[in-house]
Amino acid sequence: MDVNWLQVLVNSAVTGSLYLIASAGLTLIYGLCKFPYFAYAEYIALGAFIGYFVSEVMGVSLSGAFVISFLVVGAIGFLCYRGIFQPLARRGATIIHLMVASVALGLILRHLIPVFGDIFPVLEWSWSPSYFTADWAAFNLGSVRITGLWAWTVIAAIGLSIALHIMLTKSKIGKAIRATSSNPNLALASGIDVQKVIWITWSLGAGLAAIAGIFRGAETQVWPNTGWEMILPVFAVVMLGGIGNFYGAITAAFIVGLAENIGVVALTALGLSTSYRIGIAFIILIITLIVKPQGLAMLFRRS
Amino acid sequence: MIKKLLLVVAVLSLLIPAMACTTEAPSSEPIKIGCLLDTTGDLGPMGGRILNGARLAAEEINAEGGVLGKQVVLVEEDGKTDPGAGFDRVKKMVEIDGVEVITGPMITGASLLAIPYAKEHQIPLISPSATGIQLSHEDGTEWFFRTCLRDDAQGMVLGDIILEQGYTKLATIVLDNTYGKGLEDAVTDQLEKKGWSGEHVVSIHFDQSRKDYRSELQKIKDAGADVVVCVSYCDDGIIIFKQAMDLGLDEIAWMGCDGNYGSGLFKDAKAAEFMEKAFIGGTRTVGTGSQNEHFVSAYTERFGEAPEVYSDTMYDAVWAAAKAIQAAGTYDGEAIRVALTGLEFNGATGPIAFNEIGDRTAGAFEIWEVVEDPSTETGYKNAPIEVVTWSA
Repeated sequence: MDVNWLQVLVNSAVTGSLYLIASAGLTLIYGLCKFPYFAYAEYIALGAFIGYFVSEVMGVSLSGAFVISFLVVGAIGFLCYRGIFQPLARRGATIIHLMVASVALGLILRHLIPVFGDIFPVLEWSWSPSYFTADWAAFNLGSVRITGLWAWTVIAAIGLSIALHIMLTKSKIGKAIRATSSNPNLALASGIDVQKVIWITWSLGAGLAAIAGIFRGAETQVWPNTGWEMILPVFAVVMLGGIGNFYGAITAAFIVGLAENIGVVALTALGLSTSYRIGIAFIILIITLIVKPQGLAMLFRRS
Repeated sequence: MIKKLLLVVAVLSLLIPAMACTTEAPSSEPIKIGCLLDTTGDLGPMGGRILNGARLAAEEINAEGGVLGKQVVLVEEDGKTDPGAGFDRVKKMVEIDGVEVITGPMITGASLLAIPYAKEHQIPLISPSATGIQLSHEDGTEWFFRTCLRDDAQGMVLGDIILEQGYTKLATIVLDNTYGKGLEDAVTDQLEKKGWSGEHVVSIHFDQSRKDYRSELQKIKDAGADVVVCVSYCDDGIIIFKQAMDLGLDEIAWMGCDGNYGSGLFKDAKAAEFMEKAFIGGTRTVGTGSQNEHFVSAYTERFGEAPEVYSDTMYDAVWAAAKAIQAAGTYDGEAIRVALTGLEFNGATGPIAFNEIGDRTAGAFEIWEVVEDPSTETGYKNAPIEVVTWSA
């Protein structure tokens, strides 16, 4: 069977880039707060909806949509932590309590989106999907097909990686995030304002999810399950990369993207439904947990 | 004293409804026709329009004097596009409402559950839209009638188009459910039967909830297909078509089916543009004849919009139930079933007659395409190319 492997690689890079943008925020939050934060999926969906409202309904440019969506969802992320998870953690909630609370919050947020749409019809938020109208040019590079949107997704992922790398290694806040993530007590003892670090990380993480949401929404559709649909591969990336490890996540995002795209080739060659490709993320997750629960993080640990 | 008065009032209030019951002549009790449609869930928008078809039929039947001298009422239930929920409603209608004939279910999954039950309780079912072939092989299929045409009939028409146009490299991208896979098999069976010399280069069964089909479409591109048969619903279809546009797949010929017919597909401008450029034709069941013209004008007048897919088959299903009750002369499931097998009448979807396993003996398909039309909200609409009649 003919397979255009170069195109498979390009597609994997696009998929991986989207997963990287989506998982960068989650891995930071997860690393800091040490519990699987499922409501993260809803930040992705909210980002897509806010982006859709700003660019399609209000008619502001798409770049404006990215900025506004990043800021608004970032603020929502802060409020979620300040209003729900900080009080819970203070009262001694365990990882299980926090996780269940995050699942509940996710469900509430997801179902609130169409409710808001009912109350404020101007938002055009509902269960029936909406579509971004921006028209992306598509062009051929040799045998490879690329669209403007894919190119921007990859560029955004590279830009994000560089920006986060500089922030985490050079800036004071980045160093504080890493310090708090690896040992909160020591960070506190060293005079780091741990609370402020957590607030900033939650806002930043939620904002990054919003950006991923717009990319995903523009590529497919905007509806309340936009985030939930992709949360499994995103968690697979975070686990494989090593929780809280951004560099691990970069590698893991492209491994998961590649596995999914090759998986589709393999599944169709075997005559199986491509529905099973979501299983690929599951398998990666399970194997990682069995073989190397710390993920790829150790590859990037400075000795 | 007041207590006594209250007691009298209480006794009277109990008696009055009882008296009302006895004074009511038994002959004026209406004839119930069960009506199980999915007005919520994945097929909710379609189900609402199909329900309109049923209501129109019931109104017309009553205007003509009803059935057996009585008025007809629809017992409307919502199957929620969920096999379990639909089956639950079937039991409710039979055991609580006491219906002896049900129009529905809409979907193949609910029909599979309902057929054995219908056989056991002797209740005929008349579905407007469950097209699955395997329903004809179920134990108890003699209780299951349908006014739509089966997937194999639609597959034959699609296969014939591929042969006529001389395509030699077929790709299929179909829903990973009985509808998608059944229609795919029907197309390839027809090609094989007619001695097609081409090759089925790639077969993709996709998950309708995944909503990202770039890699799947890439497979079609790599396989070098010259024609693609796509069996999808609405929202998944939109993403397939817009991603296919991104990949430049509009250069090869695409074919659709009843699942991706309708204005809902044009919500996304790029998907609509793709369908306009790439689609050489799709199929859907369609009505013919004078009764169809009557249905379209009556429906449009009554509901303020043109009927969409399967409103006409539902209209025919309710009429078939009414005519069968009339022919049976009694409101009894077994008698209605026997009457249905001998029934012949002109419906909104053409002449209607059922074979011994309750399938239509003849019908018609429209081959449709997508054209630009600035007068519509989306700028695009479906337009008929030709009507193909089909008979077993």
